Amino acid sequence: MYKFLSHSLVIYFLFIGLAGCNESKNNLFYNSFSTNISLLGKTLETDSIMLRYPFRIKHQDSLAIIMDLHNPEYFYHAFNYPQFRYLSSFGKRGQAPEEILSAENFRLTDGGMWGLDANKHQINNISMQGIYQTVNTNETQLDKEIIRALDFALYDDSCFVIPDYSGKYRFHIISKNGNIRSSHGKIPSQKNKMGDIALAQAWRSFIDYNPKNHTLAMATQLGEVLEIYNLKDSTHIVKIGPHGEPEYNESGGMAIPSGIMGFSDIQVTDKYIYTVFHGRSFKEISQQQQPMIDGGQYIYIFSLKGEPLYKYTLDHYIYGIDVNEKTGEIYAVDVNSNQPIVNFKLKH
Amino acid sequence: MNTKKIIATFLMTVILLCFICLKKQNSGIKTELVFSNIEALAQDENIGDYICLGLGSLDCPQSFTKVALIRKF
Repeated sequence: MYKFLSHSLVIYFLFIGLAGCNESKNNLFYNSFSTNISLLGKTLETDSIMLRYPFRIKHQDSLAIIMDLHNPEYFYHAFNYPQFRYLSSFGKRGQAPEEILSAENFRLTDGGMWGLDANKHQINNISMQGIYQTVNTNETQLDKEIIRALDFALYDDSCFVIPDYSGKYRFHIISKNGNIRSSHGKIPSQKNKMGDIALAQAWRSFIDYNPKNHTLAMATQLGEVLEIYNLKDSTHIVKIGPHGEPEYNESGGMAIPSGIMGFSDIQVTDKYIYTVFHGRSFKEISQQQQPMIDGGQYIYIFSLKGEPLYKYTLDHYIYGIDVNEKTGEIYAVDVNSNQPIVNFKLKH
Repeated sequence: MNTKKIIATFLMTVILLCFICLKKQNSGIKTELVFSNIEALAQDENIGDYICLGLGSLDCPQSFTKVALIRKF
């Protein structure tokens, strides 16, 4: 009797274990969204300023800032929110002190903003006064071991999160003096196990962190992979979409993109993870006729556990988004238009 | 009578010139966009056995500019 029971228990737990493995493998991939919605955008008039390549848009209280990736003079442009009346431009392009070589992203705080300059390898702190008039900018030089910082998020009052560029880790926690405090994770590639710079370049991800729910979300620029780290309980969720993981060819230790353009922005709110998704192959992009279209036509919304919930198909091709769940709106930027700011009303 | 004709002609010329100037300013915005697109496509970075083309959001290796396409030869 005792033997029978013990054998049964062993078989029972083996069965549970196998079922669990199968379950977790199935949860790695998503094929579709629970709800598909078409959204029409409303274009806002912004004749006072000419934006060349509006890439990021964010707001805090009554201030909105758009970051122009290719503006010949200033990277940042301030507007009042939500009317988007133009206020000023700042963040001069250049090599001189307090000028910016290449702006990647920025984060707004109560007192001003932080901006990442990848080619100067530094993060700048610009005071709110500086947004309206030129004042001193505090520059934080980043640890050389970071190699190259292409995105960042505010971790807490004293630290940043920056994706890893070496391929050895997934991201770093950086203190506000620019030093690496800790390094975490690994690139979850199923095809390439060698963690090198080329792999890190191909898996280059846009990130956002919400300190209220400790959720760090990373979405790949190539392919279709979303990762969710909970920095409190150390859980890690990987979600791979129909277009699979990033594809690339290697040349001289560098990654040459192939496959598709994936995600271009991500925002973690208290309830959801919002992403902008493109899904266009580089072959299609290179062969398109004039006028050339650049941007993503989809907003994918996931739960904080990575479940694909809502797929919005837009009537514009956009890059960056700013989600306001209180008013149920998204403001997005469209690089294809002279009037690049578009407002979408959420329908969930 | 002649004076009135001259003044009227002068005023009409001024109005016409203002109209032409305004039209050129407006089309200048589109023209600038077109030229910047051509300039962007011409500014291809050729480093190693790959080439970086256009203006976009891809990080071109080694030159570290943001481009639309990176192609292997």
